[in-house]
Amino acid sequence: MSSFFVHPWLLVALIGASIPIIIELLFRRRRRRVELPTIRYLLKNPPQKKIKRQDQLLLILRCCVPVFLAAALARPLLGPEGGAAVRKRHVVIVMDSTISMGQQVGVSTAFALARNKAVRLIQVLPEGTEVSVVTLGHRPERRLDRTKELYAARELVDSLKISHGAASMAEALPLLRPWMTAGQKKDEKQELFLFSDFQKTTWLRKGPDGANPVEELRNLRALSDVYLVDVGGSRPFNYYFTDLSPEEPLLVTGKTFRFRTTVEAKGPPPAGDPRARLTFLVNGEKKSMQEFPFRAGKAGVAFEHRFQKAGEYLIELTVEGDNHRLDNRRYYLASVPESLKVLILDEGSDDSVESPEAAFLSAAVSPMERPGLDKSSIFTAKVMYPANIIRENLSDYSAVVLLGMERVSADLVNKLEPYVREGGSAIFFLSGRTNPWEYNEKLYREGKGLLPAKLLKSEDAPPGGGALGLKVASEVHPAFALLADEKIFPQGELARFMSLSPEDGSSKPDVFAYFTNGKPAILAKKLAKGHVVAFCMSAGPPESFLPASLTYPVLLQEMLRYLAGEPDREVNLENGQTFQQDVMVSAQHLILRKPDNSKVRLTPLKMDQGDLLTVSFNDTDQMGLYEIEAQAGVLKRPRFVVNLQSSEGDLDRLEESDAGKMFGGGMTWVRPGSAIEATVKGKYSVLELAGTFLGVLATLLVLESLLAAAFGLRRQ
Amino acid sequence: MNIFDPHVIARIERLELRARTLVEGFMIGIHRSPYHGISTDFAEHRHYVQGDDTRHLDWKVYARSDRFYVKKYEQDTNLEARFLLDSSRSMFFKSEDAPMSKFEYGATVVASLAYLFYRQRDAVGLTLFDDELRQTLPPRASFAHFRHLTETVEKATPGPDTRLGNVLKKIGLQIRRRGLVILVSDFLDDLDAFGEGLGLHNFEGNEVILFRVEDPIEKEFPYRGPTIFLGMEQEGNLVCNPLDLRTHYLAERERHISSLYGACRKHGFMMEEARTDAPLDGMLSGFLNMRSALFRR
Repeated sequence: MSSFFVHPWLLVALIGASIPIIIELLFRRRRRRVELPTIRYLLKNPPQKKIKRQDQLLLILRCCVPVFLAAALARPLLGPEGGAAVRKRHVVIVMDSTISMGQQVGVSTAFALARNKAVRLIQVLPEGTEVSVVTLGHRPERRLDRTKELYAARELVDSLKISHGAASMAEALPLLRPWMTAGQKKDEKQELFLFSDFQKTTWLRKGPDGANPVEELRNLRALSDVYLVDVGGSRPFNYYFTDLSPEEPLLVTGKTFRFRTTVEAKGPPPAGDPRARLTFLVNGEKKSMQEFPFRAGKAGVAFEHRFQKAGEYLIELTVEGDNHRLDNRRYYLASVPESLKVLILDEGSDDSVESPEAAFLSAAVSPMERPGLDKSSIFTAKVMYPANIIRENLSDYSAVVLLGMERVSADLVNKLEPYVREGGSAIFFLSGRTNPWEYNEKLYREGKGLLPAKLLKSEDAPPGGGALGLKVASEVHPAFALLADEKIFPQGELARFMSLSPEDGSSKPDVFAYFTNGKPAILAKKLAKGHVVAFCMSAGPPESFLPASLTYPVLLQEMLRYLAGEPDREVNLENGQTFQQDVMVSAQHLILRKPDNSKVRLTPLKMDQGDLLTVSFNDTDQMGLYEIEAQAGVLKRPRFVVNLQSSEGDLDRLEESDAGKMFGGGMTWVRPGSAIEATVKGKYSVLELAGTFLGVLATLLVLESLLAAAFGLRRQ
Repeated sequence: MNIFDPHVIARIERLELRARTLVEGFMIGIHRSPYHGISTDFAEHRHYVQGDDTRHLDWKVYARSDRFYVKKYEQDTNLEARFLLDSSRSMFFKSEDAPMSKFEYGATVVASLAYLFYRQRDAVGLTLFDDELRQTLPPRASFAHFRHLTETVEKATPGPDTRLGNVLKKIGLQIRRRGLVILVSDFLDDLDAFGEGLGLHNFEGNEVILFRVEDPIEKEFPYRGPTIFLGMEQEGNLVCNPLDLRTHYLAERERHISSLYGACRKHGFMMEEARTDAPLDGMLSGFLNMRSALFRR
């Protein structure tokens, strides 16, 4: 029963209304029955009619007494839609908590106003209403699912905080529809309240799967009553950053690096000459500042910095001069080693003597430095006899280079392969000394090993045709772009090459360059998290004369940069992106401290078939520095930063007229100035009638007594 | 012991005996006939006027005085009295304290007056009626007829309803000779039709004497407490507290009786009222007074 009464079963007491009638009938049976010939004097007389009316009135009053008593006990509720007011009702509150809601509105913020309005809305909800709360910050998130505990819902809404995220309504609305449809109960009325500043980028941006927020909202309107609660706001003049990153992703000490950023200005500029004032900070210390007039559009700005010591640095950039300060900051977390180490394994070298091949390679990777000048290379090379690799911690090296070796020990393979799988890089130079069978058995392993292709044999350059040259593949890899220029790499510099077996289908390596005879020259393969590159040639004379080229060091260093990748990418995130990193030692819980100093417990989990545990965190709703409290060595990078999405920088918003045109009719727009409770109170206000009924009951009793006395006096 | 006391009279079961007891005790005189005509008893002379029957001229007086006189004679007591006794259901009502029902009281009155008429050699007839004429005895002046009349009354059973107007009209059409009509009833009927009936008798030249019989409780309406009143002639029932309606009842009764008297006055008839607990000699003396008044008219 969709209850009009709180205790409908007490309506059984309505039977009591028949008691006066029964008493009346019993008394009627006890009346004398007298024959009266002159009854005509009594019939159709006004007093009799009047008395009959009086008696009927008294009987009605007496019947009403138990009726009102029963009704009062059943606690009737009165709403504007009659019984509908107390129908099952599901109220879905969607709080836009994107960072644009942090804009100042009056003396408060848009989000604080939205929160207060939502709390007041819950306060006027009738008892028994089910409330769900969904927030839209860096992602749509259901905070509360169908609770009748209005107090708890109010407390939750009151405790909501603004997110620094910038998800779009197109992400939230498609999730609401199936959820509300699936959960809808019979005879249930659903109402959707969207509290937002109606920023255009939030409301008009399409979702990742192409969802159109306008269409989604129209679909929801068919499912529920939709209230668009505008909490106000304006379009302030706003500076905001869209990016901040070093030009060179691999940072080392002793070398000056440029950090580039783009700052944009949106909104109506203030009167006068607005100036953007940018401050560059490293680990909280102000390092440099730039100020320039800036009214609208984009501006690219660069700051230079030279790191003196190795370590992890928090680069921070701020801008001043606008009217919306929440997005005036941008972070970059940089890992700065002394240098990036490259380990060269060469059978012809030992602790005292380097083979020519290793010497050339080492000089190309790490050219001689000149005092007083910046480093010419961010890499340093270390040559080592292969058997000594057992003593080395390979994770200290950004790449391991194997010069053509006749034999490959099992220890080497066991050490090298896990290193690559966990993100390291290996480079093979396949010279004439290379034993194809040994390599194929231990390093190729039918495509499961490190080598990108199966080796066939070492061959001389074709006689009469001159030495071989290199030509790049059709899709030029940035690291080999230089090879495309034949002037830089002239033909005839290679005397021997390693030919490969025809592809057996077990592996499909990427070919970056070919020999001039058409055979693959440089191949690459991704193995788990690491990379492997194979040069089908020697690293130096007498088989290869490439090291004689001036651009050879550039080629190699570009190759190493490619292999090293962007080590800081995984610790520089935007709101909503997921932080993920391998846990080296422990499977114990880790504590993550968020920018607002709140703590989150993280549990390392196995993410794939390997032995490594991974810790993952996707609730990156706040801008700033996140830090995982862990022992040294447990995590490679225990800190990461989260920046705002640049889409929230433009605070242009939809007005009521815009929303009406776009979303169509059938939705209620609640203006910023109007109180939500006044708008919906009439809809929700349920009047408890028990008191009224008791009052009426008392009045009836008094009235009945007075009338009975008055009628009785007349009869005497 | 007052023989006129209804409580006493009621002990006499036979109606004939009741009548004789009452009348003998009352010592009535002989009526004078108000009707003049051909008779052996000379009454007076008067001057002849144009239109008089020449057969009644007194030639001897003409011979002596040379004037025309006509002889006038006094008619003997050959009165035809017709009793109309209401035998509707309401007449059979008898309250607890009343000595007899209205019908019994009326029947006693009718029998007494019939015996009185018999003693005067007047012919008496009887009609029992309710909503229709139920039984009619034509006027006769023998004792056997008187006895037959009393037996007829004794055997009367309650009829359904009272329709006085209808009955008076039918009786009026049956009477060929002007006479006396004595109507005994409780007159609980529509008075408009009743008035029309009286008008017919007035037109026919009949004298009508009305006896309205009433139970004491009908007059006093002493009921108290919740009561269901049952109508005796299809009026229906009434649930009420009598105290609430007593004033109205008495006013309605007065209005009804006033209307009744009004109808009688309109046609020059008289009405005597009698409660069933009232002494019967009052009734008889009342009747004789009315008769005297009629003769003086």
